[in-house]
Amino acid sequence: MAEEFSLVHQVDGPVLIIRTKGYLNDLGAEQVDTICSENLGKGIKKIVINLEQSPLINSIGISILIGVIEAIEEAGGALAFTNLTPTNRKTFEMMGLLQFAQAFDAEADAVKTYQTS
Amino acid sequence: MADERQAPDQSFQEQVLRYEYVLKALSDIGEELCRVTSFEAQLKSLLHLLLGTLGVSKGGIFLFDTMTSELSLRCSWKLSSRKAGTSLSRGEIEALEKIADPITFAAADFPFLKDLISQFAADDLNSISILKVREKLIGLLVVGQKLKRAPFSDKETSFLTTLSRNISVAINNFLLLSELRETNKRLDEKIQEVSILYQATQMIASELQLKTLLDMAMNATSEISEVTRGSIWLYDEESEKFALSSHLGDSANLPEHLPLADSKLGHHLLEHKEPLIKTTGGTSEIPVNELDSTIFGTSFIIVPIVHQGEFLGLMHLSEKITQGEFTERDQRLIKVFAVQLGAAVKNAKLYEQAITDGMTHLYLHRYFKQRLSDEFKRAVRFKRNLALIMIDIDHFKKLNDTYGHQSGDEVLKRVASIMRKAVRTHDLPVRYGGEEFALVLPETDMTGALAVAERIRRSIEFEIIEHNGKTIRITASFGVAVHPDSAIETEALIKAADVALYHSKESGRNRVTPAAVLPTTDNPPPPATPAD
Repeated sequence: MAEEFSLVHQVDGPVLIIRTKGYLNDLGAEQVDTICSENLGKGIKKIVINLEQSPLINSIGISILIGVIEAIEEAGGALAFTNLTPTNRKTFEMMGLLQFAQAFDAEADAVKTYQTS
Repeated sequence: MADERQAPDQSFQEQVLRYEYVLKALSDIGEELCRVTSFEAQLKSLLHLLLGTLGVSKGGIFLFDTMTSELSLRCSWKLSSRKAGTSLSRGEIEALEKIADPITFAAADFPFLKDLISQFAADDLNSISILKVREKLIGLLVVGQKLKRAPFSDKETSFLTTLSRNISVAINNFLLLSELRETNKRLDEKIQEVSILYQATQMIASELQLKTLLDMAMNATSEISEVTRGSIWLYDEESEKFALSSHLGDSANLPEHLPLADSKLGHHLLEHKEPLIKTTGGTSEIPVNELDSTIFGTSFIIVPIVHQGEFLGLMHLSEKITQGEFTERDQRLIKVFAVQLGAAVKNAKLYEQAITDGMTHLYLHRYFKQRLSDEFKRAVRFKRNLALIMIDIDHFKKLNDTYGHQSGDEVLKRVASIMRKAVRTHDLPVRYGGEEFALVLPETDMTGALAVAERIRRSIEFEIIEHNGKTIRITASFGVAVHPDSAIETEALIKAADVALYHSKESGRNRVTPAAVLPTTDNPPPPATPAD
């Protein structure tokens, strides 16, 4: 049963928080890329992506996240993924995503880290 | 020792994980094919699947169109240019199709289409794969760098090749499916066209009444082409005029006749006998003068009605219900229909010639007998009225003797013309013989029939006929009989109308006399004195 992808986002001080819901293999996931680009353009360079509600991520999702990483790298910002399932964590590691982004267990930890740094 | 053993194990596990990930991507490609979505969305999914599997941030898919030989960027992610394309030469196509292995190249080493690839210099492409199924070129896949420009391992290049092959098959299948859907759609349309035409031609094929036939044809074409305006004009060779014979929608701008000399379009059609299609904006070479534009409008289809090379007239259609322009389909359907119409019109005209009098154009006695008998049966079955008016021109023999036969013929033509103008579509005006006429009026009672007769009587009385410098005035006598009041069988109805006509003559002519009412239980027989 494919659950349609959706997301909510909020800006908390210098940090953009994105919470996704549904499989990150839908083309709707391109929204993640759009929202990140928009905020990077506004000078918000610290981004936290909470993937708690997206336990299934396939290569479509990865390709979009790679795009986000590249854009943040270019802008000199920082990216954190939170609430990763063990499988997703392994995939992210294997694909080299975690060389450019930090993984946190909880969203609050990531936000706190970025707000104080 | 333990440490040495652990390193290969971990690496092995990582490899298994990597293969698992690629396998998942392959199964995703298969699943993608089963999704009901647009081709563009599928292409995009396939591209993302590939980029995510390789860990690459950008890329694009070019597709090759065999019809136009164009190779164009159909889907891209993060590339600097979203539009690019080139026309492939025969040689380039052959070279790309011939390459068997490897199909994946480092972007810098790609031996083809340098100009096209150089447009993406800013994207720092890593690899290019040729997408093909067997010997058929599908397109090109370009991919950018991995994060931090990490080089592709041999395994990754091999993944790219495998995924490219799978994507090629997916795209090819999708294109074949689209082609099949398109063919099916066209076939459905054809079936619908044939069915519409079949119904339309069936309808007109057996119709011998020219007026009814043309009205039917007008309605049928309005359905075929979904138009709200149209007209049919029959051409009379002798007078070189088109006569308005049927129309659809507003007829305010339509004259009764269109002389050939006044219509450029008519001339063109008569000469070429080919359909004409004119669109509002289109610069066409169709010769149209002002009168033609008034009659036919600015956007139309005009088809000649032709039978075995003989030009019989034209059919004109304008103003589509959808407000759109006429299409090739409209023209094709109308053209086929017009061929059938040509045969039907010719048939109806021949039939009309056989049953009408050449001089007065009224129906002949033989046809009158048959139709009266038919109408009588119908009136009896449905218990309806049927009226018959018999008309005789007063002192016609004297008129002939005084003014000559030519003047007599002119008088007959005038009376016929008055009768034709007085009747409805289903009435039957007849030249009964010599100077005697008849008029059959279905669904008409005595009051209605007497009114018609009286109107015709007055029209004849007031008609002034100028012939060879002489002014001729005439009158006529009328007898009116009605089923079931005057008679309950055909011959008796004729007899009753004749007797009434005789009474008109006897009572001083130029008058209308109703036939005696049949005696019934409600209506006892009249006294045995003759009517006045």
